[in-house]
Amino acid sequence: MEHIFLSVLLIGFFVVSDLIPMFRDENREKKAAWFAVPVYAAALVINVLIGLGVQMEMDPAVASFFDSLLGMKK
Amino acid sequence: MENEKIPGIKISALIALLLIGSSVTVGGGSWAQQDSWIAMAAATVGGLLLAWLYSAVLRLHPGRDMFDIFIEVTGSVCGKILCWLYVIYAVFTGAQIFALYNNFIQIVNLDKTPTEGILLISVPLVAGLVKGSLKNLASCAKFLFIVVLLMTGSTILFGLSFMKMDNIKPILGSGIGPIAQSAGFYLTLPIGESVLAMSFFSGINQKESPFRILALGILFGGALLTAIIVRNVLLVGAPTCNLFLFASYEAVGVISVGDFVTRISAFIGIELTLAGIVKLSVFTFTAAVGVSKAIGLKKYLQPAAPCCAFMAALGMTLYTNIQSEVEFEKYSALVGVPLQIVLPLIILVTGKIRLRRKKKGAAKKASHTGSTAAPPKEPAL
Repeated sequence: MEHIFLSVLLIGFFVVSDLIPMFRDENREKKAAWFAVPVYAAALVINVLIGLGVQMEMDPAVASFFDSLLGMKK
Repeated sequence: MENEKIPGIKISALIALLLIGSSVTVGGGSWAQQDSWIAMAAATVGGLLLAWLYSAVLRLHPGRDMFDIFIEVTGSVCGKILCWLYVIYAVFTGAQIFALYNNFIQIVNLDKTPTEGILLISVPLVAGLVKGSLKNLASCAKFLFIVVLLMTGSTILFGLSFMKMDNIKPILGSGIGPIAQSAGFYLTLPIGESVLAMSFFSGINQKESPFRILALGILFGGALLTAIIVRNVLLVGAPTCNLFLFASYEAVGVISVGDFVTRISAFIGIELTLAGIVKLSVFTFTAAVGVSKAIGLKKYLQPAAPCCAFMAALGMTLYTNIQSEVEFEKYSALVGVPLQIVLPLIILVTGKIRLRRKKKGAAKKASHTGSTAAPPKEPAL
């Protein structure tokens, strides 16, 4: 729960300091605002899943992919 | 980019800190054992070839950064695909650095501090540094490079009485094969990461030579890393460096000068903090510029904060533990080769061919216009 709380705090800080001013700016570039939203959402989802104990480390999958690639070449 | 012309020396300092970055904590443990310093020196010299390659790419279209050049040379669709490729590379490598950063702080010192607590401070700092503009980042880098240089020099100076020349002997004793293997590894990680420095060059005075800027940065960074490896090997020996995850921290830990100078290992933590923040800022800057060019934004640093937040989150999903992070480095080198050498070479060749065709076309047009004079215009009624 501590992880989720601190992660929400971090993303919340960025939403308040970066995302909301971006949407309020009259001269805003829509593309920038709409790029930021899914990226912040993805970062939040990753943090929440880690906080809930979901094992999502990529290194075993990537390592076995490269090992099989190199193994095929041999 | 905004009209901010940055002196080349500041960019060289930025590149040097990019190379030093996280490598300041390791050093000495490689296949080459006691000859690791020779491998790093060789990689630094090899880095000059990379500097030539990147500067040749930048000279295709002076005053532009690498993303503009990708789009100009390969067209809009391919160029944007290349932009996204380098954005993913910058984000992934930045995530690795975040992971190393957190692990170092937790393993060495603050083991009860949660990772998120460290990120709560470092992520806004990096995002703020990048959003402050490249000029700000480069000015910080120039100052911080001197600080890192002085700290490394201090550890070498204080450690002189603890160094044993026998630790570095026999020179070339590990054989040419392991030295070449280590040199090749160092060339991709960290020297080859200077490929991302090509994103700075639209902010630099066109009169300055890109090769000089890149070469100076690689030489400064490579020389400092070589000195760090020599220090570590002389202090504790190569087999001991191989035993520890953070060889520099352990090596410098043996230094004490009476009761006056002790726990000098704190210098390594400070160096990692300073150089690591700059390295993360470079990756965030490159990712932000790449995203801006790919999706067509005018304010090129707007994506900096989301990229940084995502990088930090990704860093927590990369590795099961610190040991697998270290073992994964060999795959990072494999991923680096296409992006650091192959693609820039393809861009250079393609760019040269296109420029030659443009010149030929322009020359043909000029000669055609010269030989057939246009008929005089009839006055309008």
